[in-house]
Amino acid sequence: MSAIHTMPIAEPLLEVRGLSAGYGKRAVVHDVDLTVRAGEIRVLLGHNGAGKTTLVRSVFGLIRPSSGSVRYRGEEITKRRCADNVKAGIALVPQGHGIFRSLTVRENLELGAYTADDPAATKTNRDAVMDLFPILRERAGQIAGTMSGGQQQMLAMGMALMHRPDVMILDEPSIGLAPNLVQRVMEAIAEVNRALRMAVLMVEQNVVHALPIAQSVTVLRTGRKIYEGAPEPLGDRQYLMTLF
Amino acid sequence: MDLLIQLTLNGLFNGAHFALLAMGFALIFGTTGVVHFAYGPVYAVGAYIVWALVALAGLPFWAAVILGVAATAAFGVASYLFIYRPFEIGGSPPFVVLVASLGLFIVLKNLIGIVFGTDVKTVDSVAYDVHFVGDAFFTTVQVGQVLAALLVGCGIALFLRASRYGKAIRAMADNREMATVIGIDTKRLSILVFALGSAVSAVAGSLVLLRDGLNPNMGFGAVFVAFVAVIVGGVGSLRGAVIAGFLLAFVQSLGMWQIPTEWQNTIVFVVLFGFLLARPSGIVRRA
Amino acid sequence: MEYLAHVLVMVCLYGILATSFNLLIGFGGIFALAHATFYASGAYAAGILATKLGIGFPFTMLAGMVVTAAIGLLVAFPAMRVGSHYLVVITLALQAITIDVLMNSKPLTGGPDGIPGIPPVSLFGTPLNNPVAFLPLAAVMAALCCAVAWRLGASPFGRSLRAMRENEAAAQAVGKNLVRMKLVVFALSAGLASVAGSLVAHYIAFVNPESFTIEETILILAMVILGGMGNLWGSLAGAAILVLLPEGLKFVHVPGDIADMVRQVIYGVVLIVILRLRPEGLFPETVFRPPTGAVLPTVPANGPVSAVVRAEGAPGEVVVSAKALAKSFGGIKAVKDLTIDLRRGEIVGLIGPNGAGKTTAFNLLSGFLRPTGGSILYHGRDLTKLKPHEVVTAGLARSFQDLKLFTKLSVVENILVSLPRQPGDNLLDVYLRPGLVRRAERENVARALEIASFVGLLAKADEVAANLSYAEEKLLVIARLLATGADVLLLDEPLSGLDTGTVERICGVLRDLARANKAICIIEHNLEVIRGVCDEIVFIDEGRVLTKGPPDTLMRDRELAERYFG
Repeated sequence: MSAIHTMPIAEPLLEVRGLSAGYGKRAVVHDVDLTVRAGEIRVLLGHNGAGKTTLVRSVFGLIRPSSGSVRYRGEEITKRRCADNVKAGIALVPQGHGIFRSLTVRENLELGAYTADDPAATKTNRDAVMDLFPILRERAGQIAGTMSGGQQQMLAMGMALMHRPDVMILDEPSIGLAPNLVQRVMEAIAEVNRALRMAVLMVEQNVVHALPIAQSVTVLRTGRKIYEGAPEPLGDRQYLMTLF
Repeated sequence: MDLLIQLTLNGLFNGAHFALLAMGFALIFGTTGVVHFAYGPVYAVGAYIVWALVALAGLPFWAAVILGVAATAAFGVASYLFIYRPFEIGGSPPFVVLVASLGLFIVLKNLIGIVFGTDVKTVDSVAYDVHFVGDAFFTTVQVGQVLAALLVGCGIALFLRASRYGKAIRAMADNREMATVIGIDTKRLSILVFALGSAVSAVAGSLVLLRDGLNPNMGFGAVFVAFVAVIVGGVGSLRGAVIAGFLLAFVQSLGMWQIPTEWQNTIVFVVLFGFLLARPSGIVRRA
Repeated sequence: MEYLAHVLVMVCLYGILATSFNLLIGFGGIFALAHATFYASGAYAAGILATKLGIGFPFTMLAGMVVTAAIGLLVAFPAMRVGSHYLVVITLALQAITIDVLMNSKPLTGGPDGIPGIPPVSLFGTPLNNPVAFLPLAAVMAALCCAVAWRLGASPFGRSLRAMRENEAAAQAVGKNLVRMKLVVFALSAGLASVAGSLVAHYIAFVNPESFTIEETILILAMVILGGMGNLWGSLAGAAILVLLPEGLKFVHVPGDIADMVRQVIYGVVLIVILRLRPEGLFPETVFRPPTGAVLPTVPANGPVSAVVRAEGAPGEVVVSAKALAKSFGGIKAVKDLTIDLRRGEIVGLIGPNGAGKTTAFNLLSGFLRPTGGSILYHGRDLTKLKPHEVVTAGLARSFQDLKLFTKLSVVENILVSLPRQPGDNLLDVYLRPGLVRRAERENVARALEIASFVGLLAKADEVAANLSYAEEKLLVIARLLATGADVLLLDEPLSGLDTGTVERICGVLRDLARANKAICIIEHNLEVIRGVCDEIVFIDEGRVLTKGPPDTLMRDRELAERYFG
């Protein structure tokens, strides 16, 4: 029986159902369903203004969705405070400035574990993060804002990893990075996913670099889901052109 | 020459006072972004409480200072919770909060006048010495101001650098949204910085009580000096605020070499104009 | 009787102060809290001129207005440089300097003692030396000042002010000269406030610094906020309420100085309570409805491309030619080598990955950023050194990705305010040639409605922009752009976030505009749309033009597709 079970369907961690959200009276995301399963990398694609950022921010609790629900491990977390989501094991790496620029790298990492109460575990986590991103150990005493864009992105991810989340939401980690750095950031994300068996929900516009590490893909256009499934069909650029 | 020494000394001692005021304001403004104009009268309230405890209740000065500092901290927290917080929740634009702060400013200032009267309040029970350097002189109170600035400055710096809450405060000042994202409770921290900042101002107020005495108008100059120091020193930088506080005091004091005393305030404001017009976005951009 | 007259005189004086302050903060959105300075300047001008030079009433007032308007112009300068809370603090500081100056310039101002013995106003040989005699004068002056303020508020200039308050960048982008507007409103507001100053000097016969402190400015501010910002009647009501409210204290037995302080406490509490419970004040902003009613029935719905939007010249002619544009921000080169031509009757699509420099290109072309290299020729004229409003006047207008509508203005007002060369934008014409202004306004309303009809918003003409749907907002952006009369239109993502139906509708409008000989450039991400509407695509990446050509050819290019997606 178990021998033919080649494609195990992992349990869903995050389930978004019929979510609509926006700013003021303007809805940016309309009635979107989205599932992130344990251990997978799901990439959320879409052009500028498609509503990707709004979607993940309302999942995390930074924006109040106007309707719909978000469940985490089967538990209703819609409209819950960010702090509680962090404690429950969800981490967000926001777009752009996901770090405290005037603090040192070490302080940034410690703050990543702000909600954790076990100092020993925090220290172990910090060592693990520094093993994963050796540059952070090298630069531990440096002011974070003086590092390069790629290193800052590593730090932002490192902070999110500090309290050992089960799912990490990344909002356009490639933004503002040179192509070779984008490549390295994507490798790091894949590595985190592999080494820690951590689920990843990643917003991206950079199709070329994001698709290779994606295990499943959702595409948004003007706030609606227009594609969901395996990454492979999207390898065809002409098909992508019609989607975007 | 003696005049120059005297003016330099005045600059140093007054600089310590300005630095204290600036630190308190910097904590509040830098962390929460609230232009707490009522910081001035809250500081005055603190000084008046200390005066009342010494002159009316007959408490020893040190005990009065401790109680006064605690009461002022409570006052600061109340102003946050009852005045600013509701606006914050409602998402009011910053100018609305500022105008509310102006309202609180004139309420508190005039309440002080009504409760304590408008005459200058001093305490005679605390004795202090006068020291001479040539013909120039200074008092023990002024030495106390420098010590207080030093102690408070080091204390706050240590707190911000080493403690969990201190780091969280710096994080919130740096990037409020990111602070929320990592699970920091920004309301609790706002309460904390309002308490701390107001307490620091009460320390400055207690010493000014000994040095100059109190009047209901004292808050206006204080909040301006603090605000100017924070802008000149760079929003978010405590060290910058302290340096700018001393700088302002020296400019003011040495300016008096040539300019009559009554223009003291004007000197501070002209410095503010110069800086804001030259660097409208603030002086020190952070990395 | 005397007492009642006195209270009413004070209501008149504060009415003048509050309405003039409202012009500045309610209409202009400029939070310069130095109004007591203007008040003081008028009062001291009257006091000094009357006691030292023996000059009589109307002349003391006129001289005071001139001096104070000049001071207003001085205060306007910081208001150009800094915004929001820095402006508030800087002007409060200015207010404190005023007091220092009044206190310390003894020979002129009498220092803390002030200027006593200012002679009363004498009218037809009768001195107005008691409240009852003075009241008619105060009432007439208040009425005059309010009329001046009202006329301004209702004029096209007032509309431009409100547009500036809603969004400064957008006001510039429809051709408004913000520097000029701020100077004018400061001078006028200060001049009106000084009228109250002259009156109070002659009325009380005495001026001293204490009457013009920071608390006085806060009091006037409280009156404006209580009455409602942008509502001139509200300011009168606010003045009346805050003058009358503490009068009750007169009947309670408290010493004079305490009563003063209690009054201040009341003002402070009223201010906070109003901000908490009703931040918009007692009365909502006055709606100055443009006279659409008379014209509306004559405008056909979904009007054809009329003369309003047609541009002269031969199709295909190059209108804008930008060469080797470059822009760096502190060492980072956002745009390196951007060369682009825009032709009459053609739609150019500007595409490229995020951060490629598309919006920066628009900012350079429209004067919002000054290029560090290269040139922009419009009909052979160099635009690179022009300010945004000058670029619009020249004939090149742009829209914003985040729309930047004047949300509190109605649809037709949004369009009206964007029309070029309005006599009503000139205050001299507003006051001295009302007939001309009225005629121009009628014609402009007709044009605005035609434009509304062209984009299909006629039915919503009188709706406030804040109430529009997103699609309607996008249409209004285009209407506003058309109203500027520019023949080159740059549209930043005019189609993003819309459903297919609206996209089709806007594409239709864009094609019509191209047919009407406009030169058009759009930034768009939706490639389907680009293919449908553009004559040429310019693909930019990392701040330079990679390639350009017809959409179909470019979209088949595999290498470009790779770049676009990564």
